[in-house]
Amino acid sequence: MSKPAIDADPWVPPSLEGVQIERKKLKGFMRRSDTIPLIRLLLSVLSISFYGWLYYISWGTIWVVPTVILFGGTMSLFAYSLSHECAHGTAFKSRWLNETVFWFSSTLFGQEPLYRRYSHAEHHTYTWFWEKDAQMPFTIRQKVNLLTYLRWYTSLEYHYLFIKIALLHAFGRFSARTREFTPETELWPMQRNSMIFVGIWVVAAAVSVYFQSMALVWFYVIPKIVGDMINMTYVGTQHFEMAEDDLNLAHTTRSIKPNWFIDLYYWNMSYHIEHHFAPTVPFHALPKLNEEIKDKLPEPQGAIPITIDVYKAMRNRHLSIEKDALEMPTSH
Amino acid sequence: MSSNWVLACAANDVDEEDVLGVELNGQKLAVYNTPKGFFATDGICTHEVAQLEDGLVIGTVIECPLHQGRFDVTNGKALSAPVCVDLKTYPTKVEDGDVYIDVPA
Repeated sequence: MSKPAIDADPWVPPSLEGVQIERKKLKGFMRRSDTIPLIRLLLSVLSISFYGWLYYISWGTIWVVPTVILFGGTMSLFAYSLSHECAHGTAFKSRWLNETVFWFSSTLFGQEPLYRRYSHAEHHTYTWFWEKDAQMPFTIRQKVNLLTYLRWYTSLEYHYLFIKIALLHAFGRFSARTREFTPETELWPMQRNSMIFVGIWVVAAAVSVYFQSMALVWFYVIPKIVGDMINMTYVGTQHFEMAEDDLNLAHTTRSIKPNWFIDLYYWNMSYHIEHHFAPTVPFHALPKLNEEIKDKLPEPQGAIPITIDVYKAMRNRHLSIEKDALEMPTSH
Repeated sequence: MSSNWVLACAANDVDEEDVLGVELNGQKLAVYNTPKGFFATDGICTHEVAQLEDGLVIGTVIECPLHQGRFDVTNGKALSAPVCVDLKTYPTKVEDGDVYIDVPA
């Protein structure tokens, strides 16, 4: 395992050891499109709306359970993954389209877009390096018990953090950590965005109260809470319980067995090692990139077996770490 | 200040709408072949250390391979987050099929 000094100057971001790809081929994979993502966007929105209708007509029956899982799960995967792809600027060829959809999907996901972009950039610079990766929630050095696990897998933890961060940023309060990865000139745009973001929440809540409508709760809040568990099952496969502080992406990152239905909403993030290897490659070219390098990658497993393994690893670690071990971080 | 034209590469070393990394006078530079001609900039992104030669050229824009920040290579202007500091540009000329860059001695 390569163990670089965390203060290496200049920092060389993680890569896939022993994997090279011809420039011409990679350039072909990097090419952008508006048509492919627009078709996928349309398919996603129409199908999720249809699942929402199925959920609506199931109220009062036992069918409300599978339909809320279907509707919420696809909505949550879609919002998270599209926002992620747009944060990279790779979703659409046209920048204005990318940025418009970035706002829409980030709002649906629940995270202010500029903070999402900068914190995610840091995740790519320091993938799974403790205290450097801005999206790493916990470390193998810490006790992670069932409660911690549930806090993350139900997404309650990250939504609590998103709300807290958006509120603090709206009032111009930025943590030292955020200031580390955000250029000074971007703090005001981040504050302005957070104000707009919080404003959207306040207006949505006020309109619901004024019209005495529960539509937002039934069609967004409840399905989102249910769906976020599905989303976290997939997000949790990406890095949880992988090697830390290691420059080889094959040690810190997982791809999973692709599944056409999940990947429609997950925007091909099943190919997660491939995405970290070449973040400039848009979602639609990741299967082609996979074909090119798959012989040099670990055999991908399904999301469910990985999730079970991740939980077992956390539980075993919890049992093996002394009581006075490091505390779980409250925010990161 | 006097010019210091240095041979960077052959024009056909850089594909159309592509970039090539070169090292001149100890400086890492990037040479772009765009629909508007050849341009040269510093070879390292101003956001974090990433080699622009591994990026994607779209018209006259270079997209950084690490975080996908974009610069206009004709004037070095930072176009989109996470980049916000402009890139240094260098005059270029093409003579007899070769690309020359005016770099400080």
